[in-house]
Amino acid sequence: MKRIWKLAAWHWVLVRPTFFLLCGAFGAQQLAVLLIAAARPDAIGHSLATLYAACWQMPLFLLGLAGAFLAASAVGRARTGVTLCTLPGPRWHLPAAQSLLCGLLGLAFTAWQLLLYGVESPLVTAVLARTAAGRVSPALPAASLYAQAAAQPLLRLIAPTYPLGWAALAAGLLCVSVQAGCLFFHRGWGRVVSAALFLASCLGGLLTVYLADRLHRQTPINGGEAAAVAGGIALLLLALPLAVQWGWTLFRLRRGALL
Amino acid sequence: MNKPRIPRTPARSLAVLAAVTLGLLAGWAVFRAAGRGALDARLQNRQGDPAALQGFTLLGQVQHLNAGAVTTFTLEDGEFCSETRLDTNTLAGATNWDYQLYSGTNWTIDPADRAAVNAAAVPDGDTLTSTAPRLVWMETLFLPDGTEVRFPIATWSEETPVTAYWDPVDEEWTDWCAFDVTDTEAELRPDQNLVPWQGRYCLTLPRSTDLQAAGIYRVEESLTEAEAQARMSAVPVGAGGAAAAETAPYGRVQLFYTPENAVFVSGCLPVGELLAVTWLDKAGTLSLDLVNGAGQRVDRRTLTDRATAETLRITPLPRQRPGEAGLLVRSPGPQGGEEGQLVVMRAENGRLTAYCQCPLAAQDALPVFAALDDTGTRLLQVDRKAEVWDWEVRGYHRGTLDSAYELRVQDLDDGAVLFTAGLTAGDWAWGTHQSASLGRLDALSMMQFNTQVWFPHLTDEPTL
Repeated sequence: MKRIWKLAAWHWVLVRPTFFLLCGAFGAQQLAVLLIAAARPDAIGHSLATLYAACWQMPLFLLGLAGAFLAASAVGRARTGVTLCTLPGPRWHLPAAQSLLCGLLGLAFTAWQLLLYGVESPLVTAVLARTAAGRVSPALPAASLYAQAAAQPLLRLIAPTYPLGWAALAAGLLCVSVQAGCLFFHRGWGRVVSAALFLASCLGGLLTVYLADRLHRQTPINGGEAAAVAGGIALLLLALPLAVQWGWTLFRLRRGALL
Repeated sequence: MNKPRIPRTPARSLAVLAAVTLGLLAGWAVFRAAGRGALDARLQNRQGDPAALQGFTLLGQVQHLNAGAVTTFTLEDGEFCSETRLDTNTLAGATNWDYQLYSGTNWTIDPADRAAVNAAAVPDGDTLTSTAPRLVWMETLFLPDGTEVRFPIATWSEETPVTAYWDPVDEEWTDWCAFDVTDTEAELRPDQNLVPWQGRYCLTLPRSTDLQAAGIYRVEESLTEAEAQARMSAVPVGAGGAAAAETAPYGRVQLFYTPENAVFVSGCLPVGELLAVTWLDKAGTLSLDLVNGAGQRVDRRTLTDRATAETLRITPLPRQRPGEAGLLVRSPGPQGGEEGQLVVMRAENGRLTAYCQCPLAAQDALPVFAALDDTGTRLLQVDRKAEVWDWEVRGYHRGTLDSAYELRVQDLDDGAVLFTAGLTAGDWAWGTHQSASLGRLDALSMMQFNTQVWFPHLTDEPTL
């Protein structure tokens, strides 16, 4: 375990600038877009929760999240790749370390979005209040931070209060991180195939989390059969690429034909 | 040389990342669960003594659609409590309102005319057309327990074209029937609320026809679909076809109570072991009769004397205490416009023990819940008031409505208002409906307010 941690940490040091750049760019655009949107006269009646959705921040977050998982594959090819593969020890430690790093990067990006949301809340609320001042009578009631955050589907889904939700998040995170981790060890067309499997896992992860939420809240999904089919597809999208990817990567590493 | 206090090894750097990340995520998870009290319902006392809440029982729920939470609030022994559950959508008793009646209207021929109608049949591909001298309106009721009843409502004595179709799926003909026979069909059809009372479903027929009197009918006997099919014997249609008879009644619907001089019966409402029936006479007087289990009237009250069937609106309120029921009655006011009154009554052991009839405090404050206290001398009501926001965007002025709930306790003997409070359904998060979009001029009016306050209907009727 210690070795895996150290391998991951080595690569983390190389990924750091790229990752911070990604977080910084995402944070800057979100703050700018939301504050500009809040200052427009059309924004009367909006709150942070609705502006976030109206400004397409949700799909941008998902894109950024995918980017965070893939950040580890963007660097380190020449500088660490050869070194890593010539280190003694079991071969499976290498993809395991990469997966651990990718998982942590994904979680870190999500935590960064949380932090951003907390910082934006008072700022955007203040700007919205200024936009509405004098134009709405009587004055609109103030919204608390909890109410703003609770109304956000993204924040709701990442903090479920039921075991099915935890299991869904864990399964999704595991599969997507392993996919992203194994992506690093392929080159050329192999990387393209690997990326396709990674995307399949991302879809599967999203679907699993969404279905777990709907199932728990007993929101009717059109027919039990449709739910079973959707659940089956989600699990397939998670499990199958995972198995394929892991086996394929180890096979290549053991053969030594890499990088 | 200054050495850094914490040596910057990669492993430590990763550990810092992991710690901060997990800390933030765990912190949010805990905050979300622990801070859910922000969504609780609250009473904001405005005037009077909260001790006036003693003796009342109330159960309400708020559904927070976007937050995926349900808040339940109760009033018991003068204490108002509220509790929020996260990640849930289910409300108590959400399906407990009086059952929606599903029924089918069918204008069929009189069985005695069948030979004549068949003789005059003219084939046209898959259809047979003919003319019938008389028609009978057969209504089929589909009850919530899956059974059916069919009974005749009216006859029509003019010659009308009738048609029969060949059904390729069942490979048989449908029986003779006519469509769009009269404009008054909608007025004569049974009321869409089916009221369960004393183990039977009660049906309201609003107006008299030549076959049935206006009044309350009870479904005494109903059949399953298979039994109904068995009763519909094969009858000849046209030159050689056969169809399942639509003219055969089955099951049994019995007249339970019809008020004399009734021009329009608006509906019925269970009040413990009594049934309250509201009806209009020719002069426009709206009366409320209380009927016991044997169909005898035990009491009559006059509600208003200025109503007509088109201008009258009666809304039953949620029933939460056994034996108690409330109605919101809206009818034309003395100077035009509309006036409303709240009627709440309670019956114990087949006798009316409490009755109150009060005008609405303000025309824009409609009661959504009303209850009497344990002694029957005080009334609690929850009104939904419209709150209006005026706003201006790019020179355009708009107004938007929202609902505010107000709770009021008054003494029935002298009408004094003992206590008022505002009922808020958790912290306001304006515009939290996710389909809001920029670039629309009236974003505010497009908001669908995402909290819905609901008073469940806790009936003591046996499930049928």
